[in-house]
Amino acid sequence: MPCFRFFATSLLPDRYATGLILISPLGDLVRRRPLALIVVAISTSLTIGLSVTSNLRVFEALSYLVGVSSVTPQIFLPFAVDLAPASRRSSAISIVLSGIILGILSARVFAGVIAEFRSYRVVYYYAIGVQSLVLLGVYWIVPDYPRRNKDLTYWKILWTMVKFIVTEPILVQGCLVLICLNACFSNFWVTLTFLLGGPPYNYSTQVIQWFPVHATSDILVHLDLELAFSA
Amino acid sequence: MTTITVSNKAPKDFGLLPIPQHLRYDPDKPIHFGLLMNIAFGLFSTFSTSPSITKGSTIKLMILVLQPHRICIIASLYSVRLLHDSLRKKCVKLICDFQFNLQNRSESHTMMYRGQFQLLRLGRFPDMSEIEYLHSSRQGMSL
Repeated sequence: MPCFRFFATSLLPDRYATGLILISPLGDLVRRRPLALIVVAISTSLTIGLSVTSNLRVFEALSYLVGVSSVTPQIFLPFAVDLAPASRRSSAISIVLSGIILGILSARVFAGVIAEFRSYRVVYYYAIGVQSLVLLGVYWIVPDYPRRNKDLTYWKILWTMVKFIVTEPILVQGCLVLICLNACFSNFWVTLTFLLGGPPYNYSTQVIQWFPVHATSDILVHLDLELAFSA
Repeated sequence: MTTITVSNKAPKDFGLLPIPQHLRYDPDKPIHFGLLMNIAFGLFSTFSTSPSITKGSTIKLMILVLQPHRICIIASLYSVRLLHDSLRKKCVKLICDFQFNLQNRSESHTMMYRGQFQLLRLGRFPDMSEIEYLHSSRQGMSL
């Protein structure tokens, strides 16, 4: 029972961490194309379960598994770096990164709009739809690329992740900066809804859900600048 | 007969799905990673982020890092959870502060670094009630 409690209280919200630790390292180990295909396929099919179940336990479990399997962006980001010619590497990263941030913000807007008119299940129908499109897109667009590290094993990769903490000072510095940045961003978006919903603003959820759009335009402008400079 | 030999040679995903001809790996003719393919990668990332619309979705931002930075992502996840309850009011104040600063500055990078330093100084921020700061930020915005 304590074990279950640990799972429910601490692991469930951080399901995403599980995917990051255990699945995204596979990108260095196997061919990325099939990895991306299987990850998208799994998360699409699990989302179907999410949209139809009415059992809370099942919902929680599926939701955890979907979180674990939604590491597709982490597969594409380094893949783009590998495929892009050296001169275009930074702009390649910035485009994929902008895609990720757009996803986070636009998903909230879409989910808000859909949930306003229909039940939350329709949000999941939407997710199933777009993910199926992504699946088709991955099949038709993502090129095959041989696996990178033939001598590496899964456990060795996990071990290097730990080892880098003590051997790569620049990485650690970057990590510290990113922790701050991410904490900032995360706290802002999570808190914003509650803040704008209360006094003295008293905005309705319909108004609040459009706030990310504002940020979206910001991302697009930056992306545009980045492309202009890299060209 | 010929078709069988060709299909035997063709690389397959999971040994099952044939890979489209133009996407197969050929060391002599590397794939051209152009802008369109790059944008496609971005869009895949956009729409595969959607399933976690629910509670934990903001944490998704931790993806903001490259593959070797995985450790950092994990650390961020946990630090954010710890920070979240204790510091969130201060954090929002901080963001409003730098939105205010932003009105005079368009360079995103300046803003980012400013944000980091302010965040690092968080511990020294005076405690303000939510209402007070909202009023101050409102005045800031209208200036």
